[in-house]
Amino acid sequence: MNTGVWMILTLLLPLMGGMLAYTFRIQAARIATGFAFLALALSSLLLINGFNWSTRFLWIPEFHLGWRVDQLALVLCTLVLLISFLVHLFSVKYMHVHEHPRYFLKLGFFTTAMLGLLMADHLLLLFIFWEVVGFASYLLIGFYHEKKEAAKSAKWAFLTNRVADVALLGAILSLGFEQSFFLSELTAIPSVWIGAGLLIGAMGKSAQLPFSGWLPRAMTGPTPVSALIHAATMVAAGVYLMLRVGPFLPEVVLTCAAIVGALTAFFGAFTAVTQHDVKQVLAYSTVSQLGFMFLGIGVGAFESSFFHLWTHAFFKAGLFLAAGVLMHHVGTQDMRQMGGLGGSMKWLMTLHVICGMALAGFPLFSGFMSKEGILQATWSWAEQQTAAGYSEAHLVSYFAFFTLFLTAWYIARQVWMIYWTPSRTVASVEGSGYHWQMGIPLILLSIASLGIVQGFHVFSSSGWVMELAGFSLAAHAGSLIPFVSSGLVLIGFVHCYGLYGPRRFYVQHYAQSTYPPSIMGRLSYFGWYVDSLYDRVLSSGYVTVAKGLHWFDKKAVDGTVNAIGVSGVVFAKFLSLVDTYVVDGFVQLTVWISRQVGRLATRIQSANVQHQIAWLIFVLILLLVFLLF
Amino acid sequence: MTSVPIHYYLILAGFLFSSGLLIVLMKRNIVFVLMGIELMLNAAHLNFAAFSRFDSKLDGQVMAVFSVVLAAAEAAIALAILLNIYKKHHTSDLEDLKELKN
Amino acid sequence: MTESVFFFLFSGMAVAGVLFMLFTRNVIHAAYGLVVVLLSVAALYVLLNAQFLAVVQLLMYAGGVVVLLVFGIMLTTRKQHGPPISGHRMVPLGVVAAGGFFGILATIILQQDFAWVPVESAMDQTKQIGMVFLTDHLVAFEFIAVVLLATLVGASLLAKKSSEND
Repeated sequence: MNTGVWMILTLLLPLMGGMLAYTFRIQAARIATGFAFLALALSSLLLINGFNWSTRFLWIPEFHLGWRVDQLALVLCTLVLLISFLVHLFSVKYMHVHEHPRYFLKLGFFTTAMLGLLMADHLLLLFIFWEVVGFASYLLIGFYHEKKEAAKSAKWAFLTNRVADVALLGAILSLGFEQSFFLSELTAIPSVWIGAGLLIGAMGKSAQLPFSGWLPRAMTGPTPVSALIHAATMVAAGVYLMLRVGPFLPEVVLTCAAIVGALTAFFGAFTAVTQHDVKQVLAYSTVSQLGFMFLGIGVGAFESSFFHLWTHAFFKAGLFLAAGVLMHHVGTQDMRQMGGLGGSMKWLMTLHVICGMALAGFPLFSGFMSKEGILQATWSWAEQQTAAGYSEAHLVSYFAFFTLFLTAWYIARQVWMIYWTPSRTVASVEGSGYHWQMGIPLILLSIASLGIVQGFHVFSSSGWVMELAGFSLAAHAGSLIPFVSSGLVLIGFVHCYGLYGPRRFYVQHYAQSTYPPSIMGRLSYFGWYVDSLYDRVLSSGYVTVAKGLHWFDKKAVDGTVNAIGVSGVVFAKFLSLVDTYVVDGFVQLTVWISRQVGRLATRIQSANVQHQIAWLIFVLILLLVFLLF
Repeated sequence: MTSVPIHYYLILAGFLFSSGLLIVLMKRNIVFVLMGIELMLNAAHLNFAAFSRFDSKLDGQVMAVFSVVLAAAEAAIALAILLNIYKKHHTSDLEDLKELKN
Repeated sequence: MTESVFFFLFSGMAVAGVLFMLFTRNVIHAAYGLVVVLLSVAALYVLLNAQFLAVVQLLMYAGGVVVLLVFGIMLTTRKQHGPPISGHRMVPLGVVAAGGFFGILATIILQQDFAWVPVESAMDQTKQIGMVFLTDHLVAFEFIAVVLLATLVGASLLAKKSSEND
């Protein structure tokens, strides 16, 4: 069972499904979903049987690439295929039928690309799939390409990725020529630049702080796409890369990863608290949770980061799909126009709340377990750093804890605003039934968000999946951390209720509110002005540079042309001058010479006889001299 | 033989001739010029005479005699012309006797 | 020996006379110089064993030509302008020309090798020359007679013209 055929088959099945779906338009949904299920089944089988496979193949002469499927890769492949299958199923009823062929083709293409990325052993192969995944996400974000917003967001996502990938490519090439291109052969990397390049590449893909602008914008794509790509899979690619090279990176780079992660987590959560669009809240939430994962990697808790990646996939996908169902039935994304839906959508509300609790990190849910691991690791890392003399390290942990509080806050706000506050919707909700295709995935994901599913010990920070993925269990001595975090979450819920609870003043005017007038509020609402900063600096700067170059070009080029023209005229004038003075001068000179010679000659013929005689004698002498000597 | 070698006579004749030439070129008075011409002729005669010393037939002397006669005739005519010129221009200065435009 | 003494004496006189002629501005004085030169040349003729020629020189030149020249001077000067003065002109040019000519002549002469023996004439020179005139050079003799006749006619014609203009 250890031959690579099965894995290659698993890799290609989603793409085949997509292409077949595109070809046979009528049955597109069924074909695509079927293939997705097949791939999932295959992958699970391989996982259960302990499949382990590695190979090298010749790509161009003297250059080999390679696949490697170890436990980690296989687990993540199965995760991707599971979420992909659920999203396929959900999309059958969510997307319009005429959109199906194109949609499923793109979806299948994306899934295959993601699998390829996970399976690659050679860094360049990984980079190829990295780019292909970026391209696939571009296709999917801009799915509704008639809308200008969608096209713009797709472009933004792709370009931001590309910028980060420059650093990544540089790092890969340097690393490859220094050590090896094969992930399985990597040893410790001493160079900070290489490490930084790899980190930046991962940051671009996982929407960390300088590169975070594309993720909230990507919400213009279909909601199932957001569930698949931006919750569970593609954004996890950056984390995956970090998991692979992390153990070999120098200390400095890891510390940077931790700092960036903490800051991003804080930034995402801070922005999410004032957003009005359901999907925007979830998008910033994703940014924040990815920051947590980076933080985990930075402090050295690779297994906890992986675990959080795993649990996050489930509850975030669940949240997105719930939002999808919500939008399908209410018809709007804006929370200001919702409210009081708890009565009519009890079942949806339950699922939404389950996933939300998992996100917040409330005990008994999966999110709690994975976050514990990260938080404990952060604390011990900070302790270590303080012992080594860097007491500022604790700032990182404080940020992490504060983010926990904010996370609870924003998700509670979302839930309240949608379901429990007095109704602000203009029309009442239609009481149509739910399609099973949309319901089953949601239910499954919500179940997976429960703590008990992930590990028997619901208060520990480990789950069975960690062993499966080849990590050792996180061993942290019992500390105060779990209680502190739980306390923070509770405080978050209570504080939110205090502000947004029913019959509160703020709530009654919520329908008309836009952004909070305070400075913090505005900072939060506008995403810390990061995007407008980019716009101002990069776009305007670029335009200014372009204008400057244009001016220069005009001056230089036109100047040159004019100069050539003028110089031509000048040269012509000079030539005419030369002609007048030099050429004519020569002529005049010859005239003058002949005149002088003539004058000279006529002097011989002078009126004076004696002159004549003298000349005669002269010539005579000359003759004599010539003849005799 | 202790006679004077002929070179001396010839050199002397040459000197006389050159001086005569110099006078002809240098002086402004017509008569002065005529004198120079006579001097030149004398030089030639001396030359002839010097060479006839070695000739038994005295050809050189004969030539010189003829030349003397002609020189005298020529001097007479020259003087006649000089008088005519003087009558016309009232000057015997060669500098003033210029009708050819320069 | 004596010949060379006399030679240098008379040639010295001739040279002195020539130099005097060259450097004077007075035409009459120049005529006197010319007389000196003519006389010295006549003496040199005697030294050269050309007695007839010497006499002819004296008769014709010193007696005839010089007189003519002096007549000419007298008739072509005005007393009120003072003594006849002749300026010099183009001295350097003349010096160069004449000097160059003399240089060439001297060079040629000195390069020659005249190794001849003087001949003593046996007969009386006058007689010999008379004989030559009428035998070898008869044509020239007659011709000279014609020339003299022509000169005579011409001179009288010219004189007549001038007298008619008066």
